[in-house]
Amino acid sequence: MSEETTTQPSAADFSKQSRQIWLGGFGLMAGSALSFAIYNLFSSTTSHIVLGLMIAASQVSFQLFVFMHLKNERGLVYKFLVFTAFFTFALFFLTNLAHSNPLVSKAIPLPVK
Amino acid sequence: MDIPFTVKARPDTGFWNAKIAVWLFLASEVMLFGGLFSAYIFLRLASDTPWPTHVLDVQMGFLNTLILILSSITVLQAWLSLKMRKFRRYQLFMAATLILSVIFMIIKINEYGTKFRHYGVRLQDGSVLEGHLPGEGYKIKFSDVKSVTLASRPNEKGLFNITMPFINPGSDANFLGYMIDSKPEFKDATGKAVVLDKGEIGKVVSEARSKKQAEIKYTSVAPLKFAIPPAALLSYDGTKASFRDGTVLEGKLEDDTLRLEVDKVDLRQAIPSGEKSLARAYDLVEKADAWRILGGDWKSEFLKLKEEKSKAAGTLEDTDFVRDAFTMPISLHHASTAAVLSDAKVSSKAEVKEHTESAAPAHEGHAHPEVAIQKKDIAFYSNFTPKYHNYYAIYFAMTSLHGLHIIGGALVLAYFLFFNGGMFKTDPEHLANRVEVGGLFWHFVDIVWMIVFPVLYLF
Repeated sequence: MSEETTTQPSAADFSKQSRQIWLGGFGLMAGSALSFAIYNLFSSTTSHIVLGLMIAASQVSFQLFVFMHLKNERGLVYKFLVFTAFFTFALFFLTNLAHSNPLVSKAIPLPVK
Repeated sequence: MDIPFTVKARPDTGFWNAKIAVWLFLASEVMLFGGLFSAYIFLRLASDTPWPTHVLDVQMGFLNTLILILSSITVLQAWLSLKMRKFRRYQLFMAATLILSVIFMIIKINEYGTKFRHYGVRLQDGSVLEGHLPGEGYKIKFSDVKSVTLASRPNEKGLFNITMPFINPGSDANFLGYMIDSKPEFKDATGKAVVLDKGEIGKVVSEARSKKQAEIKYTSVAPLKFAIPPAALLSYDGTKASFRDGTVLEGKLEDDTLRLEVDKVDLRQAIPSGEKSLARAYDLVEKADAWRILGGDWKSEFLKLKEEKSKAAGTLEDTDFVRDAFTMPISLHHASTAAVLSDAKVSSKAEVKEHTESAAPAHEGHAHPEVAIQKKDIAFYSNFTPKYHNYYAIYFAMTSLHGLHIIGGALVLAYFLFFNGGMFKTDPEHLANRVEVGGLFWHFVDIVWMIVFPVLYLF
């Protein structure tokens, strides 16, 4: 865990940090503008999904690491993400298993009375 | 006694109290929204009807994204100002954050309004007409109503045999609100003249309940007319309308046609599931009920588009192709359609109105033909709310929950701005910490929207 400090930034640090926040914010806006442009340029829903989610993931990462000050906690965040990915795939796998239930497909139909 | 670690970090965790609390809270929020996004994926993958795509106002959604990102910047600037002990600057940026949150919510409320006013009517063969209800909306009209029967129902005992006070099951006075051009003058069973109103109805229903009398019958002095929204009715036929509260009107069904200003026709559900042949699908949709209602000229317009679309090599497995090939906007301002319309007005006698309150901004100010749809042709109709499609259920669930987070976050930030000013003089670092945790929550709300925007609006 990063050590929390209560020291005050200098005026130079302040203006630098303020500028970085504006730049970061405009970067996030540019990401959304790119998603919007992709929506208008490509007619395929699949391209929207793939590119839009990639851009959204980058925006979210930036917001977390820079705006929410998690830059120094990258290791911990990635560990959580590995577990999340594992559980997500497990969830999809189990659902897929339910759809291809061999017991149901091989079931012998009951005689009609 | 002072609460420890409100400003300085605990040595063992490295965090001050509120910061560790907000991260634990955000972890639970991730699970909440993660569950909703998972629900969205599963609903979409397992949907047995075409999934609505590109149905929201993307421009306004994009504007809202920019507004939320800007508010993330301003809340960070407010926190930074406190760190630098610049109180005036902090106030300005915090006020800007609140104003942006209000603008975001106004745009959202407007978007909800357009969905509430936009309707879809699925016909018996599966073809769908989308549009707006003109005038006062869809009403079931009864005329020559000579008899009204009020219902009295026993006040059943609930848990622990307790009868709930102030609950009077049976007829209420709502049906009087649907009466048009008439006065509620009646005669009761003894021939006594009565003017029914809310107080009178409450009194007679209550008396009937105590006498264990199931119904109270009235005869109208003069024939009455009613225009009733379908949601108020339990059932109706040619001579009788039964309300959900038990009230029954006896008269003559005058009109139950649904009038719709059609802005789109969607034929995808008229194609049987499992159909592989594009040619057969086109043959089927050419006979769709939608054309009987819209008029043959719109069908000709569709067939013209079909010629264009058939140049693209598409299959029925390609959802994008099917969406483009089997849906058609119905707008009279479309150059070629406008020409068709002049004939359509004559041949199909479709009433045409200039429609200026369209839900979809792309259609704003466009004219749409008004059609009359008989009750027997309607399989289902609804405005674009959760009842209409799973997409709208998950859309409203996610965006309203997100909206509640915006309201909650804005209230907390407003509290810091308007009621925590004194803390700046006594303990400015504590105030900075409060704004930091409020800001962390605000960034999280922004993150959720960054995913909601592409998932719900763009895909």
